[in-house]
Amino acid sequence: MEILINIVKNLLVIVVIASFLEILLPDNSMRPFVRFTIGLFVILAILNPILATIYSERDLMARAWDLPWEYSGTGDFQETGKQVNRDIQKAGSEVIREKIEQQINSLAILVPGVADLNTRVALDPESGELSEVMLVIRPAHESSEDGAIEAFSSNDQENENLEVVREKLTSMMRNLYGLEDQQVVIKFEGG
Amino acid sequence: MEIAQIVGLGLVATIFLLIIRQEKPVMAVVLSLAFVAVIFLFVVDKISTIVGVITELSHRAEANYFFLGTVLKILGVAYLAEFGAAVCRDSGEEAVAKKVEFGAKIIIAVLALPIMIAILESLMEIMPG
Repeated sequence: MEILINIVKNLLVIVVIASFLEILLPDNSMRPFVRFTIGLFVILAILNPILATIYSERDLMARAWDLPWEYSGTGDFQETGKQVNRDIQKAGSEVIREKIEQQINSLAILVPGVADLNTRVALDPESGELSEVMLVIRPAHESSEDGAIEAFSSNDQENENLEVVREKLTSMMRNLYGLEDQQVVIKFEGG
Repeated sequence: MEIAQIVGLGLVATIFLLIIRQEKPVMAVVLSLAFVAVIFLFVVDKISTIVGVITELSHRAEANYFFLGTVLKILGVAYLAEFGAAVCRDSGEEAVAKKVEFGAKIIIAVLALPIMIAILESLMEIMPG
């Protein structure tokens, strides 16, 4: 009932507006044209609340045409909106990137043969997915039983150990993040 | 009393026009245009007040401003065309005046099209079947 009262009230106002607009009409051959348009406005004003009440999920289709009318600088608003969206995404991506780097650091340090590492990840700007992981590894040298650092017995063995580490890390990245082998770049310090 | 000023200005302009038109018809047109501009400047504040009140009322009545804006725009087009056509008629150019009115009618029709289409589309959607 209250909705009906509101509709009638609004209609009264609109009819008064339409009558007032009629006073303003120029007195020439264009009068019928303007009267016709005012008539359409009144019909719309009547239809609009009825449609909104009956079909609560829809409104007049022309509602969408409001936008270019009410906001003359639509392009600027859209561009600003996109820029804000990009900034938010960038800020979000930055946080995600740091978290992933910390995560990889924590996991990769557990791999035997890795003394320390530095991780850099790259996210796809469009999808935000992980696109590349670069690990800079400082390999751990095998220690002798008395704790003294012992050099690898030969370059071949050292290379073999590094390859094992590389394979383990690549496999870890592949399994954890679903990355392809070429997306994982592993570099060894001093090598 | 602004109306007195307007009427006085109108009478003075008419007398000047009567004198000038016989000697220099071109200057008469210029004077006529100047008079139109002065009258418009006189009432422009009041027009903006009227538009503001109508807009406010339509907002309160939750009427769609796009449509009201279109109606106001059409009113503006009609008045502008009337001024132009009247000036043309005063200069004895009835044909040009008709063309100005024709142009205005087309522009009004184009402006009214979105409203008409909106109503028709909505009605068609409501209709069963």
